[in-house]
Amino acid sequence: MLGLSAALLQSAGGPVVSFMSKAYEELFRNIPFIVLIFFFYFGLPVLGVFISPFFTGVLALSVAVGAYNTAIIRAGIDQVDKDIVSAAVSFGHSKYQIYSRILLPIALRTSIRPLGSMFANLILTSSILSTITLNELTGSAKIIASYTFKPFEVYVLLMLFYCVLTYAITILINLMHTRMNKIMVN
Amino acid sequence: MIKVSNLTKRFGDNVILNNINLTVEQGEIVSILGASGSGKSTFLKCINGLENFEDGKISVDGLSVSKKDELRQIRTFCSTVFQRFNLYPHLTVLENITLAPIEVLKEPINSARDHALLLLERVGLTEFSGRFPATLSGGQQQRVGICRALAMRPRYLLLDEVTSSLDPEMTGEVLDVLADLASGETAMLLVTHEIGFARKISSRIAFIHQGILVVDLPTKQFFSAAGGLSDGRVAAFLSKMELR
Ligand SMILES: Nc1ncnc2c1ncn2[C@@H]1O[C@H](COP(=O)(O)OP(=O)(O)OP(=O)(O)O)[C@@H](O)[C@H]1O
Ligand SMILES: [Mg+2]
Repeated sequence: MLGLSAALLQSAGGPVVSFMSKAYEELFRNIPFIVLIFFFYFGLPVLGVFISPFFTGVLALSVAVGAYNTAIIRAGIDQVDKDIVSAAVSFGHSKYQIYSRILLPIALRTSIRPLGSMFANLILTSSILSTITLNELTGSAKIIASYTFKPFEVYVLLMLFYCVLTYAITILINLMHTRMNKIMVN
Repeated sequence: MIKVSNLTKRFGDNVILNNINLTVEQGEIVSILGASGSGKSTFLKCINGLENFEDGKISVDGLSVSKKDELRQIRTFCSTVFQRFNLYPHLTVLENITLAPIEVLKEPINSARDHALLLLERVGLTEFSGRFPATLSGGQQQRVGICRALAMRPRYLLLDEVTSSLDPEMTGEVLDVLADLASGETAMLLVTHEIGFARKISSRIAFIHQGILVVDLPTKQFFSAAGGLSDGRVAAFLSKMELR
C-alpha cells in the first residue's frame, strides 16, 4: 500500500511531492533491514519513543518493503506505452481516470512478478524480527528448540517451512501473472 | 469550425511548424499531404492539445485549445484515430469503445454499449466485441480505433496516417470504413499518404513542406496543372509518391 501510494505520488504529484517520495524510496532502499529494526527498537526509545516489538516489526517491514515496491510500481508505470496514454488524454479522460483505468491496471500486470518476489522476501526478512524478541516463526522456533533440546530437527523443519511457503507464493504469483497477461500477449 | 491561425511550433531551436493557417468547416473533409518529417503529426497533436505551441491560436467551435477547461470540452467532440491504433491492451474491444463515453461524457452504460455494438456492426466486427486487442489483426484493431473515436459522436475526427502501419489488403478495409463515414456530418482532418483516397474523399487538400503550409486548395484544383501542380514541391512530392 505504501509502495503504491509513493509510486503514485512520484509519478503524478508535483515536483515537491515527487521529490519527497523519491527521497523516501532511496533512503529506505539503502538501509539494511536489521539496522532499521535496531533503530526503531533500540534507537527511538532514547528519544522517548517506545514501540512494542510487534509494532516495530510491522512498521519496519512496511517502510522497507514499501520503498522497494515504490520502485517496482514506478517502473511499471514508466513502462506503459506513452502513445496509449496520449490516446486516453486525447479522449478527455481526467488524470485520475487515466491512472485508475489505464496506467495502474497495465502497470500492475507487469509489476506482479517483482511484487510477488518482494512479498516472498518479506516473509524471509520477517525472520530477522526474532532479534528483537518478536516471536514470529523463527522466534518461536528458537524457543521450541531451547525447550526440546532438538535444534537440528526444529531448524530443519523451519527451513522446510519457509521454503515451501515462499515457493508456494512464487507459484501463485506466476499463475496470477500468466492469467493477468494472457490477454495482452503481443 | 477548426480554426488555426499563425501557428508556430518549435522543438528546441527547430521550427517544426511555421506560421500555419488552416480552417476546417463543420462537415468538411480536408486532407493534409507532405513528406515524412514535414510536421503533419505534430500539427494534429497541436489541435487536440497533445502538444503545446509557441505562437498562434487554435480554436475549435470557438473554444481555445490553449485554455485548460475549453480544451477539455474540445476533447469531448474532437476525436483522434492513431497511426499505431493505441488501443488499451487490458480492455476488451467493447470496453475500449465505451470507456470514454461512460467516463468522459457520463453516458449511461447501457446506451454506451448499444452504441458501441452498433458501430462494431458497421465495421463488421460484431463478433469481436469481447476480444482483447492483441488477438485482432492490424486492420481489425484500426477499425476498433475508428469505433472508439466515433463512440464520442464527434463533430471532428482527426486521423493521422491511419493505414500506414497496415498491409495493403487491410488498408482497403479501413479506407472503406472511412469512405463510408465521409458521407456523414463528421468533419475529418486527415493526414495520409494514400493520395488516391485523399483525392476521392476530400473537399480540400493542404500540403505541408518543412513546416510551412505551402498549398491549400479544393481537391480538383490541387491536382490541376494550373493549381497545386504548379508548385514545384507539390509536383515533386506527388510524382515521388506515384513511383512507390
Ligand atoms: N518530441 C519531439 N522532440 C523533438 N523533435 C520532434 C519531436 N516530435 C517530432 N519532432 C520533429 O518534428 C518534425 C516533424 O515531425 P512529425 O512527426 O510531425 O512529422 P510527420 O510529418 O508526421 O512525419 P511522418 O510522415 O513521418 O509521420 C520531425 O523533424 C521530427 O524529428
Ligand atoms: Mg506522422
